Amino acid sequence: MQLSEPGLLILISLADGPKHGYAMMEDVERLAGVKMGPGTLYGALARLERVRLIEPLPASDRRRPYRLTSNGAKALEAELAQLQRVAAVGLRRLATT
Amino acid sequence: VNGRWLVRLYPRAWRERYGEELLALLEQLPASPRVLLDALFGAADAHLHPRLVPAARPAVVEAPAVAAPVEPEPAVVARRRPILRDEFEPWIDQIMREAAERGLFDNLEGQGKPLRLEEDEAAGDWAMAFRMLRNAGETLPWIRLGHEIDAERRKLAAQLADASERLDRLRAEPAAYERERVRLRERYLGAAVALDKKLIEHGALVPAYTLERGRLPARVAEARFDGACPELG
Repeated sequence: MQLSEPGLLILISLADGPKHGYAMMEDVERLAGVKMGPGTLYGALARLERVRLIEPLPASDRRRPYRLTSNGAKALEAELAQLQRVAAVGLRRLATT
Repeated sequence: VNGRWLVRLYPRAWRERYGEELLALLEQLPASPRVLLDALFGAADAHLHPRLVPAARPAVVEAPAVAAPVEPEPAVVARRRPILRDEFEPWIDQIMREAAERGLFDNLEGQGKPLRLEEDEAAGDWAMAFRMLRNAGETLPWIRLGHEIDAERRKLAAQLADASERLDRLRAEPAAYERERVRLRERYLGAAVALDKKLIEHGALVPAYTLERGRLPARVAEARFDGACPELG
């Protein structure tokens, strides 16, 4: 499955433990400098949940944390490895010109 | 943001699953245009992709002590289908109406000021027409016709009041009353037909049906006259 950019950022954000929406937004901004809006966030969350890369945990104080499923961890790993390969090629090409 | 109205813009199934937590999130965010727009787009997205909401499933209550063997789960991909204009127009209308009710469009630049049609670059083909009208001391044709219609309606009402008064004075002479009544009725109905013609013309000119002035059918004019000036009997 092709991950969208918000989807990828969410998976990365959940890689070190469950988080609720606001915590993900803060984390993503800190880590990638991307301000993700609430609509974008929940659109991506719904898609990730639909394909079971993440799963909801019981809500506390109306805020619901999500966590990576094992499939989600695998998908994230594969995606990051792919990005790394692409990045490596790009950097190599730049170095030789 | 007090996001209750924003959350209401999402489809029902979506709200039932995510509404409460999205609301809690919105409450933590500032009411900036970026946040509002993003939430609006989210609502649009949810309407365009109704299969986005996962099947109802209880949240995981506790982590299993031993990781269960993971079965590869088939990815469910939303089936694409063409989007019909009729499907999203109603909720675009809803979004615009609710935003207007929230005052999102209040205090915009130029609000309450007269439109300067002749200087409107976006008027395109109309720009020259507006300029010519203005130079001729004229206004838009349907506006001018609208004024004429208003004046004729007042004249018609005055004519009816006048006829009723005149006939009242003839009540003692039935023959004269009837003669005069037929004459006044013909005159009134003739004027009503002329007004109705203008109403038809106006209806054909106005750019939006909400600006139409309605019609004055002969039946209505007759009933009005006969109500104000009944036959003796």
